[in-house]
Amino acid sequence: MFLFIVRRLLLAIPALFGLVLLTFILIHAVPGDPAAVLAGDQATPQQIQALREHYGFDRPILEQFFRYVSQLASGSLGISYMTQRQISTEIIERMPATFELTLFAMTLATMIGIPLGVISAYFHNRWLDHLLRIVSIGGLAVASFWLAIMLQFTFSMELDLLPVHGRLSQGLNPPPFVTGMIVLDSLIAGRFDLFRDAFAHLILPGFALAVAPLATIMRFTRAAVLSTLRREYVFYERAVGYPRLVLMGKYVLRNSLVTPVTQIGLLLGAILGSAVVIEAIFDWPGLGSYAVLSIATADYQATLAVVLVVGCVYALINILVDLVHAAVDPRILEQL
Amino acid sequence: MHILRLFARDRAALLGLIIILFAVLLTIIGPFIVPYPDDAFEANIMARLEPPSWEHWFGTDDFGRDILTRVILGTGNALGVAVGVASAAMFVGVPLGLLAGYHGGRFGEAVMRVTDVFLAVPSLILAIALAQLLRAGIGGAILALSLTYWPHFCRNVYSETRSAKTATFVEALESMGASSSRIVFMHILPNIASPIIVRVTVGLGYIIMTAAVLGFLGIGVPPPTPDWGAAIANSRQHLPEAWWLVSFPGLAIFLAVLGFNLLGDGLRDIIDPRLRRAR
Amino acid sequence: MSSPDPLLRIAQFALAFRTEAGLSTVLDGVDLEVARGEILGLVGESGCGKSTLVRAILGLMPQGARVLGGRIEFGGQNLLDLDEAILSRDIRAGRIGFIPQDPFQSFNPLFRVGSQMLEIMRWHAPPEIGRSRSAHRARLLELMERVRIPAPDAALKRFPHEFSGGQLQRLMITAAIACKPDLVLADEPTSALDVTTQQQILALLEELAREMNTAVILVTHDLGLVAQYCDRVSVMYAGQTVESFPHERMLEGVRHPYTRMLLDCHPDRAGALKGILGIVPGIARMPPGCRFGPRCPALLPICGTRRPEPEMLEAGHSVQCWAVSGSVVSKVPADV
Repeated sequence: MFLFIVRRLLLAIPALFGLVLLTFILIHAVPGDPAAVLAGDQATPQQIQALREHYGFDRPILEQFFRYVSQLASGSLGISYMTQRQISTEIIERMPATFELTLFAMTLATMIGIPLGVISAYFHNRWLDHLLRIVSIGGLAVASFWLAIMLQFTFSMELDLLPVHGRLSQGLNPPPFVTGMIVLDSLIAGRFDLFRDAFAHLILPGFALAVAPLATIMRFTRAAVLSTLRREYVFYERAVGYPRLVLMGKYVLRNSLVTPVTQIGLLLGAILGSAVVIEAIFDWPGLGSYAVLSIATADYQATLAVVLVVGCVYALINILVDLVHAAVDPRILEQL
Repeated sequence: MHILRLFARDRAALLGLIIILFAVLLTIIGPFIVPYPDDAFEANIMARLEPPSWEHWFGTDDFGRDILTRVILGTGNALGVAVGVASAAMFVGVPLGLLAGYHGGRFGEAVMRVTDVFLAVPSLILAIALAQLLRAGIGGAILALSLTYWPHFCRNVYSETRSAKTATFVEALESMGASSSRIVFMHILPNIASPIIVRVTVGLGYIIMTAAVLGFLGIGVPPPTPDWGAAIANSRQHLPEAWWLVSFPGLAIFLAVLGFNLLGDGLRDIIDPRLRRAR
Repeated sequence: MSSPDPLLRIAQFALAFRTEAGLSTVLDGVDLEVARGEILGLVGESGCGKSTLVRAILGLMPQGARVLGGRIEFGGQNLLDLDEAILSRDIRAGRIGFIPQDPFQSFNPLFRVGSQMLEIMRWHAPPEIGRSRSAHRARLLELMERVRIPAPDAALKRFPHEFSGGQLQRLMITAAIACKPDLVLADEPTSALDVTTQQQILALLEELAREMNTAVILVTHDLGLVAQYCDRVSVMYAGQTVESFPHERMLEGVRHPYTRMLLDCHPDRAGALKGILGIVPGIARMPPGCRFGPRCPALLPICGTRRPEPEMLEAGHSVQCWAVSGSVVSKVPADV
């Protein structure tokens, strides 16, 4: 198992290196003076010159690349020309908010998607199955940002049931920092009023984000369960008298979940992508809205920084998913 | 043909096909049948923000432009962009995937590493970053999307080629002395065309969706060209009163993506069991 | 019929499948008997319905199958009257054991073999073995020693892919007899194994069956194995039983034309390799009356209109053939 982890980590490195290379190329691919471009529209000539020296744009290309890599390695992602702060600081400040939202959406998607997929498979080709399949195909076709706006429109503006935006209502202070996720932290601190408020703010963006992955999980689970039910070992388990509940609940379920689990990595990646827009719509102070902000202000350094950070997070997620896969299916380790 | 009969039995796929054909129709004759052709580009401030009525079935937007017109014209835009992106992505991805899959070795590994880099970041984020950097209007958007999606096609073609390569007939061709490019393009490609077509169909749905997001963020096709995503972005400031501003463009996106998804699913269902039986 | 109180008696059992071409009678009036502690060989060509019959005994018929008539009496009860829940709880594993054809596909790849076998025991172990998990383990270990699995203790914790085919089949035997069933159904248990292993497995099965006085139905297409290990033999063709006879009768004394031709085909017989002209009819194109008719050298007009009734020639030997029945006078040519 240990060897597996090591191998997996090693495999991730070339891709990340390639990503760094890619962002480096992108900086230089933009027409015009890279320093001016990176510095932004509003930069003063001094700022542009400072940037030029910082990145060494007047030096040979290879040296520039080494500089770039070493700066990244030391944790520096550049300075946002808008706020004049370290981008890395801003990103770290915003990450917990994005984690909270994406984790919530993923949890919602799995907790609803998997049971629905199982039910759909169980009632194979009956009306419930058809209904659920329509729901899942529809869910995949809905643009998440459109859904977000419609939800805002319906539940906040018209019905006034849920807050329109933000993580907490005006005037409320967040609980002491433990995980950075307000919902969890407020529970830890015992502040149920904060918890209720934070949760109310989480519902709409979380749901908008969760719909597409939910639909995908439903489809995968359904296919996996149907495929498992056809297997020879399910027949054998029936033949040797496994009680139906045990058979379905323990064995079929476990066998069916292997494929969906491996898809979770991809889904989290997709969620991270959609989160960009959802965060912007709900004024959710996370990485996503930061990215949208940097686009609106043509803050290229910030955009590239977000790309790098998300790439690393995504790689980490994929490694974790592979580990879970190996833990669930003992045959994977054998294939090494 | 047998295939058509199978297809006709799948009602969902049929629905998808109808939607897509309708969209194509709108693309072609749209500019000629829209009620207010000028509203593609001109504003009509007198008529701004009018709710749906007999004159304006979908109402008017904040520039007084007829929304029905803009939604129809936006169809052509969306499809055009999607087809353009898919063509460009396939133009690069398919040959690369074929050659990499067939020859394997260092070349294949190298190609896979390159696609790995592009796939290291979630597609949407990559598309957004690229679109921002390359913003040269519609060309920039298409380029950004093509760069985002070519690795997906490339990898699909690669894995299909790898498994097609194990077929006995390939061995036979090789021993007869057929050149590798002949084998790849004249024999393997036709064999893997079917699954590739399925992926492209579903992929078109994804591209339309991503293009809409780019439009929403303001880094897609530049205004005043009608764009569904941009229309939704504009609608936000006028909610909740002007509900028609957001609903109709959104529905259009939904239908377009739905159409491609249904069609792709239906094609997959027909093609897969057939292929299995044939092999 | 053959014995006063058979353990299992199948009388005129008929089963149909729903196919694209309508209802096809897959099993057409099957008659079979197994006495306590007896090893019965069930032979026939591929597709003659032997596996279907065996599965029907356990109530494991595929979706869309309909019982057209007949009885399957086990210990006095008609199994066809019992619903799935009762079959699962009372009959399978506890009273009728099952050994599948392909152990690799029949064991669940994600669970350890020990836990899978213990699951069977948990629900079906007879009271004399005990109710505790450790008592079940002890019983399994004891049996695994008997079937010569090396290091049984460690083996229980292994996954199916870590064993060889022969070892897995031994584990299958262990699982099948662990709960002391009265009858074991072995569905071509050695078809997936090489010849040497085949002999080992069947010898083991015979040994254990004698020891525990367990009856066995050994389904196979291999007459050689039947000759070695079975007390009695039942021959099936295209969903119909054609002859049942005791082991002694095997070399001389079989009467049904199909049985005789089958035996003649066996390579062990001196002389040129013989075949049986024609092929088994497809499931939708079964001829009326005796299904072997079109290929039978002793064909009589009545054969195409009515199914021959089973007739006892002597103790333990019954035949279903108009040409052989006492009621129609004729002779089957000596060499066909």
